[in-house]
Amino acid sequence: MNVAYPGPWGQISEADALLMDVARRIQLSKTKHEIAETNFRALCQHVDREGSPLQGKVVECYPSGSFATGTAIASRVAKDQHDVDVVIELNVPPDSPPNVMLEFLFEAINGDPDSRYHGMVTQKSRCVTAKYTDGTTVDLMPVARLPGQPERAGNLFHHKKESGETYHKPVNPWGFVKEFNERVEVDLDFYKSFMGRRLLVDGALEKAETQPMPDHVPAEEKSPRIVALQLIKRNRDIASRDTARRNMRKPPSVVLAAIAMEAGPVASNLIDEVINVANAIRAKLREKTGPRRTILVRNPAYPPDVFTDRWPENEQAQDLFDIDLRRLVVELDRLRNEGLGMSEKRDILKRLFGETAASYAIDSNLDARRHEMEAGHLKAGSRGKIGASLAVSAVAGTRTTPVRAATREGGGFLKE
Amino acid sequence: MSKSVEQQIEAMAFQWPDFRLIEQIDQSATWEGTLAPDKREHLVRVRYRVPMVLENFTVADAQPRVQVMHPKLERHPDYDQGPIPHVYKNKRDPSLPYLCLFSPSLWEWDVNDLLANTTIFWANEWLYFYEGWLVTKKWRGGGRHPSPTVDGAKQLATV
Repeated sequence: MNVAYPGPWGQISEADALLMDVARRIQLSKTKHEIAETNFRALCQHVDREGSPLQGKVVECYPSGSFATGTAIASRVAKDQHDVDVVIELNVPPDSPPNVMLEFLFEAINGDPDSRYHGMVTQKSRCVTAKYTDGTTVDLMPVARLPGQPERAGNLFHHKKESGETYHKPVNPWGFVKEFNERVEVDLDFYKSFMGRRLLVDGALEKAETQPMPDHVPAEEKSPRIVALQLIKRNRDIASRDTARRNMRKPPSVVLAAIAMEAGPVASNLIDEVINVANAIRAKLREKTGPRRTILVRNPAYPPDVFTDRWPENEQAQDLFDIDLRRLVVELDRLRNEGLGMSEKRDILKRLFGETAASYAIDSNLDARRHEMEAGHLKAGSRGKIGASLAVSAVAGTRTTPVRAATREGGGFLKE
Repeated sequence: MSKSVEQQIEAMAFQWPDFRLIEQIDQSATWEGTLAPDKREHLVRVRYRVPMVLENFTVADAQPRVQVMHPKLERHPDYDQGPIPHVYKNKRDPSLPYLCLFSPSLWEWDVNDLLANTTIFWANEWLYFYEGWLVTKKWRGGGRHPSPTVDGAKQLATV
């Protein structure tokens, strides 16, 4: 391999490297981001089209939640599927009947039998979902602005067909996103580590040290807190696959993000940051001051917007999530401290983040090691502990020697 | 000039003090020691004979013989490059094949090299990717395979 720049190389722990690999696998690719953006914009234009029941009523259309905070992950990693939450602001009275507004939106998207989205649309209690042929979904949530309130605060429309439950709920997703993005800390050293790890796994070592910082770096590559949130969300998704939880709600991403904002200083390495955020959420879960003896989390940008209005359904659901987070912390602590073998690491990652992401992380770790070896970056101690130079020399009393690269070749018989 | 067996022994004792010289006869030596690139420890045997001055030999013939004595290498015919990836067969004891550690055709090692600075590291790396092979069923350590041609000669194929 031709390596333009032989180092020095930033060092990260193996546990951090594995978590970065998991994170890369669960994140949405740039292409997926662009497709999602194109999809929801087309959907909003469709709602506003001539002849639509909501023609001329669309004020704004913007992603809310995870997509806007950079914390989005694939909903089905193996299939690279994702869900996008989008707010569609409508110029209608904020006290319009919820059932009517949701039905209007459904009709506006579903359209005539031969139209673009016909048959792809489902009306839910707060949004209308369009499902694309690749399995990805866009949830379009209608909101009507409330006069005299902070910028873009409005009412959402809640209507459950089955029970007839109907009400308005004051929300401000835009305000939350703005506050989150302003407050979440970025860390350029983390960005360099994250990018360097990706390039090392891909075998593009020369780029790792020479590539200039691009003008626009996605939030998920420069903030350990955001990557930590993505990993916690992935762990939540895996835990919720348990058949016993089929009819239970998942802890909403926005609740996790709101608590993470208050989780104190950002840790410089990823595994500590995941544990830090998970522990902050667990601490919050011990508060049971809400109406169902559960936690109460509000939108910090607009306190009337209660994020925990539907989850936890009860104290048991809250305790269950606390147990999940405890397991996450314990397993990560083992990954960090116990000197596990490769199969044990793979099993932990599989339990926490699913098989696809775990396999990708282990494969990536092997590829990274091979690329380091081929580039002559490895050094060896005297008992076969070989690693990147600084990591090995940090082991007290260990004499290290650079490892010359070699190509495994052979087969057949050797002369005896 | 090729390194003498005494130079090889001295370098091994300095760089790999935990490797034990178990036999020395004339210009040949055998060591055993433990390598643990992942969690598990492997007892490895390294045998090397310095070629004689007038001996006609190739790098492939002269290379050190490295075997994993314990635990013995697992055989998995259904895994990528199985039953065991990147080894030379051992006629006398098929359960103790010799590790393919470098490319003789690229002259990545020759008799001027110290085993302590090459062979042992490469054996360690081989074992790391072997552990990875057991976990993933895929060989991710790279390498090349000689493949037999129609007339029985060998050529190199990049994998």
